[in-house]
Amino acid sequence: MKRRVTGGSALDRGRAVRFHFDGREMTGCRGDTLASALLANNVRLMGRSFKYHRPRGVLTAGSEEPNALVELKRDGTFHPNIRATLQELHSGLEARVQNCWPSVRHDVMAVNDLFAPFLSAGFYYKTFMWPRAFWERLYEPVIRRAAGLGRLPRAHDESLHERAFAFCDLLVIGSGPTGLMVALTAGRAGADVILAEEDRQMGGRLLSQAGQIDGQGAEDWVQGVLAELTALPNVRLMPRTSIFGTYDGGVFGALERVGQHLAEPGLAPRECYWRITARRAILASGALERPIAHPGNDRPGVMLLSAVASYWHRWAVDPGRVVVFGNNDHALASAQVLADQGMQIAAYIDPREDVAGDTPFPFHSGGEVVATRGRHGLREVTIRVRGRESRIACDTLALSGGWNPTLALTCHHGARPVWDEAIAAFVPRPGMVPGLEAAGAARGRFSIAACLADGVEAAQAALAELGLKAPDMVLPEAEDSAYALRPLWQVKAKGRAWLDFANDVTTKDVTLAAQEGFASVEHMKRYTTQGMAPDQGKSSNMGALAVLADATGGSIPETGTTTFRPPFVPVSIGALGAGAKGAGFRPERRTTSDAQARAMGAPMIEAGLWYRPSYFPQAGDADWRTACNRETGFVRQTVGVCDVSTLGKIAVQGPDAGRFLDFVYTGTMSRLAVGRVRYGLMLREDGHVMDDGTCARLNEHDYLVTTTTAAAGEVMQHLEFVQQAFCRGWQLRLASVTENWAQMAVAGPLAGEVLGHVLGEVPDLPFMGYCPVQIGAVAGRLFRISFSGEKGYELAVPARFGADLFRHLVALAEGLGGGAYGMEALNVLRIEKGFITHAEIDGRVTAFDLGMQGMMSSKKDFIGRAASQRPGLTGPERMQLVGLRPSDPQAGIAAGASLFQPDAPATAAHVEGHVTSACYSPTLGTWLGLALVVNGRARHGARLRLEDGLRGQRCEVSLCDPVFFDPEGGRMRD
Amino acid sequence: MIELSASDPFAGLHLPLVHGAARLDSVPPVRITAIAPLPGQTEALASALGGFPAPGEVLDTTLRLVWVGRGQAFAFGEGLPEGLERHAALSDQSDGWAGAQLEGADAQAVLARLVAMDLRALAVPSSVRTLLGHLPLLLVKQSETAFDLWTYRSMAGSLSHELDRAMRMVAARRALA
Repeated sequence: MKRRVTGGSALDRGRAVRFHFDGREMTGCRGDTLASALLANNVRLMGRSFKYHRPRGVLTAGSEEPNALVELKRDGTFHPNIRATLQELHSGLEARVQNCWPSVRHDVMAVNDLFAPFLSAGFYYKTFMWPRAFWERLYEPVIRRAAGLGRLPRAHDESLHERAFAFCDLLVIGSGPTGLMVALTAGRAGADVILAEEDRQMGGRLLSQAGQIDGQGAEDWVQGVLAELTALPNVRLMPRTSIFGTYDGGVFGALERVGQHLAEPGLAPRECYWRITARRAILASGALERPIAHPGNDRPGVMLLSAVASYWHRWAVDPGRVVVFGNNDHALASAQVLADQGMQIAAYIDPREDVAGDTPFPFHSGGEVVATRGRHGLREVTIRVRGRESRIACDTLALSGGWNPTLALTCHHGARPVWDEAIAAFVPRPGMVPGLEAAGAARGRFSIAACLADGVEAAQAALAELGLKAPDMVLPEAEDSAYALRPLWQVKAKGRAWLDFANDVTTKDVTLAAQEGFASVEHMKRYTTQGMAPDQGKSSNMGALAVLADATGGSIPETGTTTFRPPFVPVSIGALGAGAKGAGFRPERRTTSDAQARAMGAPMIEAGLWYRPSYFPQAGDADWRTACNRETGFVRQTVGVCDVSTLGKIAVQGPDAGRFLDFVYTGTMSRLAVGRVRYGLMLREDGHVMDDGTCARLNEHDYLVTTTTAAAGEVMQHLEFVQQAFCRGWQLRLASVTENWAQMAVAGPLAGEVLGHVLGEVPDLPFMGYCPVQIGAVAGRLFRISFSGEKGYELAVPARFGADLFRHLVALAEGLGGGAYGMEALNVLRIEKGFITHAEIDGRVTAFDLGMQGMMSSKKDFIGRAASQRPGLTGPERMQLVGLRPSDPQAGIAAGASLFQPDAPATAAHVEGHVTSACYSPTLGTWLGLALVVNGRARHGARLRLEDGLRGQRCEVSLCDPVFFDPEGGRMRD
Repeated sequence: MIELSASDPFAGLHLPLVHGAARLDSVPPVRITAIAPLPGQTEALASALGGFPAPGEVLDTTLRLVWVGRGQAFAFGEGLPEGLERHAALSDQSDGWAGAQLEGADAQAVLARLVAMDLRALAVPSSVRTLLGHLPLLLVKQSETAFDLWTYRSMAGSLSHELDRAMRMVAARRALA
């Protein structure tokens, strides 16, 4: 290992870690990030830029990194755009550079750089205008191929992700000097504290600089504080956790790296997406150093001064000969400290004329860096001091253009920060996000002493709001130097100077945007794409708007900032959707007979969240229709059994239950005799049909309403609303009992025989009758109702007995030549009878449309009655329910087909109606359909043309009554 | 005449599940009666029952009375006093709900993956109606390390799937530490 010095506070020097970068095996140390390990291996070239494919190296040592984005091979796939500065090294790690081909050193797309004059901001809007047809066919596909950072894996992301919730009194965001003091103060006060830190180690900038706090080394002081915090049961430390967004109600989004840094995470998730609800929060996110836009500032080897210091202190990376280009006192002080510690500072360049220092290295005040050289890495910089240019050989150029408070989280609710002239940066105002305040460097207090003090103050204010007593805190002694700077937004010299490294935006692009009329900061951003890369312009926003202000002649505060939106850092979609894959996508509702239906080989279909058997295949079946025809035959000829438990069941109980049901149904239920069942329609308030079903009177004050499977929740919600909003004080209560009862339909001429075996004796129930029954020791309910048109019963038992009841019923039916039937046969049976489902009740139909206007009582008011009488909801212009028969009985028809006059063109303007349901009826030997057709009831016998463009069907059909089979209903009544 | 045998809502789901410091097992079947006092009858009902739970409350009388929603409680156990129907609508829910108990040192950590509530703040015992992932949930906090989780019977499989996944990940995290 060539470029390591001794030390390295983050490193475990004794533990070598082998990894691969671009196919080359390398060795790092435990505690390295990928970036620090690469630097230590003398790798400066870590990727190619987005647009010009220029060689790029690492700029920062943190999450704001714009350049060093790599592809990480993991979990049998790869993850693009991983920040090398954040990815911790582990043995076996395999990373690859992105945005280059065939290799990072020889990238053919670097030809773009030669055409840079033609690829300025907005070039594609200007260049690819003509010929028009080329845009979609040629330009866009080519641009899409060339554009984008990284590439997406084609395989599913099989890595594990987790979601979690956390709650606290006080969320502390960041663990530098400010955050530690906040956490310590609040922790000692007994507040429930979460301290979140993006880095693996807590301590923030104290880990990256020398200096003393309270007479001890800064790192020792950090360790002492952390030891106390760890011992406090009311403080939770969350390292590797980035707070990425502030949301309403004190909710913060956070992303925790759980297993991504480990060679063998086992079943631990890669990342966890936390939603942290905090009564108060303090933003102690510190500040980010900004680069300086000078020509050639994007070469590998050009880094932020703070990053050079971090790599030196934490990871013992020797940057070689370093030229420091800074415009502020902090940069000068840093350079001096680093030189004292043995770093080779080749020169310090400062644009300020009026600063001087007794430095052990050459000091050039009034100077600027105007050029850099080195194809794949920096070799030399050209400086200009008072008009005279000279060259300095170096390996690293360390930039410090001042510091920007990391305030994005305070802007997530739409408030804007204010300009602070003294530090030439935006700072947050109090109250930008309710419950969140910035402290320390995040609000422009830069010295360590100021941060420590501000942390205590912020914690005290938060504790007062939380109603907790703040402890007496003794402020540790620390550095309290002034921070003076002269802003330097761009060096005016020949050559391209980069602002946004990630999206390849130069000062010229911003100036051009202003010249071409995109002078508002929001327009400039979109025209140049500045700030739109994964780093969201963390190191470029300030510089870009300063250059824009310069170009437009406005001041920086007048120019303003763009809008900061969550997420502050990239968040993988996998983490956001954690768990919502496969069976976790949505809950499954399974009936009690589910296991048996599956054991019988039934394909299951979804009905809402429920799963129901489609049909029950048997050996030798040609296709599903063979099974469907057979099962339809069971019901028409012998007996069929079907699990109908999924229908909604609502108990309506109390002295006013009947009165209430009269109000929600179109018909009258209060006069229903005990032991009787009635079919009913419910309307929405707007007069359209909401749902249909039966209503049974079990007892004087006890009704049971059934709903369709799909609308069970909607009807329950509707009834609750009506009861609470319109019927307050009425003596009734509602309860969903859907899940408590397993209910099996037994239908067909032999239904009574099956029931006889089950019940011993079949009660003499009239059609639409109900009675309680005993099945051995089990109390059940028997309804004589039919959705098939045959003599039918529905037998309900407590759900725990459902599986066994289904098994018995199927066995008994099979013994009589029948058997179980599924949804396909159920559908055929009901279409043959013209019974409706939500295929017909599609939300647009009225009772009139269905031919059920006779069910609307004229003797009482009910929900939807008034609205149903509005003009346009009744009459010949309405689409009305009819039956359809094809002239050729074997001509297949399908739901969704449109109906036209025989000679009318198949266009929307000529549609007369559409097919709502269709099936092949084995009973009648023909295809059948139900349809909604304009003035359909008056047109029985008319012939129309059916066209189904999707399935290519076309045939002649005639309209008829929707009840095809046993129109008198004798089969189900007698 | 046939005799029907009962089946467990968690049949085939391989309970109990044990991962790390959390264990999930089904709650033995128990009679559950939903009790919804009619308007103006809450006091009369409370005196007949020995109390009626306020939102979030669990009352242990001869029965366990658990608040489950607006104007509604579940009575767990046999022996409901006679004549309650004068004051309340009663419905049997014994078979409508599937209950599982999650217990262990990591029970709260597991639920923190699935339930958007601060369970530390709840009294013992207390009840909450909320969601577990996307599942409707009645949660009864039995102790700081034991929670009864009730959902619709049909969703027992999803309940166990969600908890199994969360338990495995929490256990895996523990193993890292």
